[in-house]
Amino acid sequence: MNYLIIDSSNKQLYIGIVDSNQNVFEHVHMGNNDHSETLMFELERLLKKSNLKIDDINKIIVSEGPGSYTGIRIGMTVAKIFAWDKGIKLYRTSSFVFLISSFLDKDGVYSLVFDARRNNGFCGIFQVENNELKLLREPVFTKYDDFVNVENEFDNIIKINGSNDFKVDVLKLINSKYIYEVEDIHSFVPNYLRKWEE
Amino acid sequence: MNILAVETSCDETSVAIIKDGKDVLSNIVVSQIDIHQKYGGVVPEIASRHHIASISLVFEEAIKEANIEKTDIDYVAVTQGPGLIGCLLVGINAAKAFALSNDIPVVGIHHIAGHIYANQLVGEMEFPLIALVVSGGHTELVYMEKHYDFKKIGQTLDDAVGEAYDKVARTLKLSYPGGPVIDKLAAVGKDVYKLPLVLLDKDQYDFSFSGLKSSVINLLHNMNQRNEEYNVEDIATSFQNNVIEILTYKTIKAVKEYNAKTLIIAGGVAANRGLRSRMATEIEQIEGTNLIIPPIKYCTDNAAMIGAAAYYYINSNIYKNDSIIKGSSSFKL
Repeated sequence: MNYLIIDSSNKQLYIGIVDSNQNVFEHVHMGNNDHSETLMFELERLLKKSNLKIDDINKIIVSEGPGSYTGIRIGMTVAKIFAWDKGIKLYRTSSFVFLISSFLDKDGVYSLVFDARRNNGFCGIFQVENNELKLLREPVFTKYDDFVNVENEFDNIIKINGSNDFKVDVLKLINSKYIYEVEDIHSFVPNYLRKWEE
Repeated sequence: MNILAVETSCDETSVAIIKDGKDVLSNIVVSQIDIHQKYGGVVPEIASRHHIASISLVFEEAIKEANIEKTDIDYVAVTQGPGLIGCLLVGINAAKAFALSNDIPVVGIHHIAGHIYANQLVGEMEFPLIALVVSGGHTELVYMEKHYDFKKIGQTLDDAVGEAYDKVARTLKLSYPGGPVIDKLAAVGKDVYKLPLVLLDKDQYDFSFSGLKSSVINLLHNMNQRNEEYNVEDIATSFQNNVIEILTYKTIKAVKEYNAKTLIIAGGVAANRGLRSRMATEIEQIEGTNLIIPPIKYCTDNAAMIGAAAYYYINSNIYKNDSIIKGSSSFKL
């Protein structure tokens, strides 16, 4: 089973390939509004490195957000086209799952935040207990100042800001329960957490 | 040569398959006009959201309708700019992904080059050539000596002509987009309101439409203040006549100065019937110049025109293999 994993939702661009021997090939870097130019270029290099072609990929996992609207769409557009064109199974997961992937075996209460500019963030409270991820407060688009009050409800909370660079534990991510198959590739859209239309 | 072309620079999601730069094997266009109508203009984030919701399906439909195999596609072409950046990036990433997935080269195409080459789908461009590109985002006069060689000789210094139409329409409480509605009303009204004919420097080819637009808005505002009634058709005629006069004056001057064998009118405003008929009358009087205006389906944004332009780009001496394709809202022609 060969996996392609993409998260372009936030400042850090993550591209991973995991081959059938669980060898991991990845490209991680802090972008500067250039995910669109970097993604395909680095993806092509990873494919060469891993000696795979798009046709060899069996599962694609893509972040559905939250994060930069344009950013999410870059990775998701690529994932949709590959999945439709080659008939590859497509899976979605939250950008929060990428952010917490390396803590999935470390019990605790986590405040996870992605920056949304102008003192706003996409913020949620999660708990890891016995390798299970639980949602304590549904992720929302909110002012940071308001979210501090929510964080204060919990003792010993661990704060992680996904607008900085962070480690993605891709093996934990692909083996976790928090990836969901996309039934209809064509109608698949990001989870923006913020409406623009009535 | 078969080219799969993608256009998502504004509010139309479109994929087309073009054979040898001329034959349209398919041209699927999903328009969002109904969605943006209630906002009185295109809302960029909403447009981007609709692009990603339909992009893969539009690819599928275009290939199905063209009735070809993916292995028969030689190039992928995509609008690189100018346009709304969030919208452009959906098309660009879809095009790049499809190209990699099928091991096909991909090229970035200028949106205005696309509008100009829409004419190649219905006629044969003869050089030297003058192109008047008029739409909601552009008002430009372009001179071409040969294929894929563009020299911009004039442009709007403020509002694009389509933008002026939209704003005047909104003031008159007419629907969006303003061009078709005003064009229809202008055909039955009378030119009775005196509005400024802004020609700027008569020897230059630049345009300005914000003064004309503001005059209409001020006129309506003042009449409202005085509780005077006005006739919408007459306002439409007075406004449109001025627009056409300005466009015609500059364009015909360019045709004569550059001894153009072809005059092309391109972009969404090329659908304007008042403009089409006036230009036709003017060109008839100039010996040796042909007028080409694409049918309305190729005037508004569509991927077929991008495929046509791509064919001539690939066959030109400026073609270079660059698969990065940096989306650019202010891409230079």
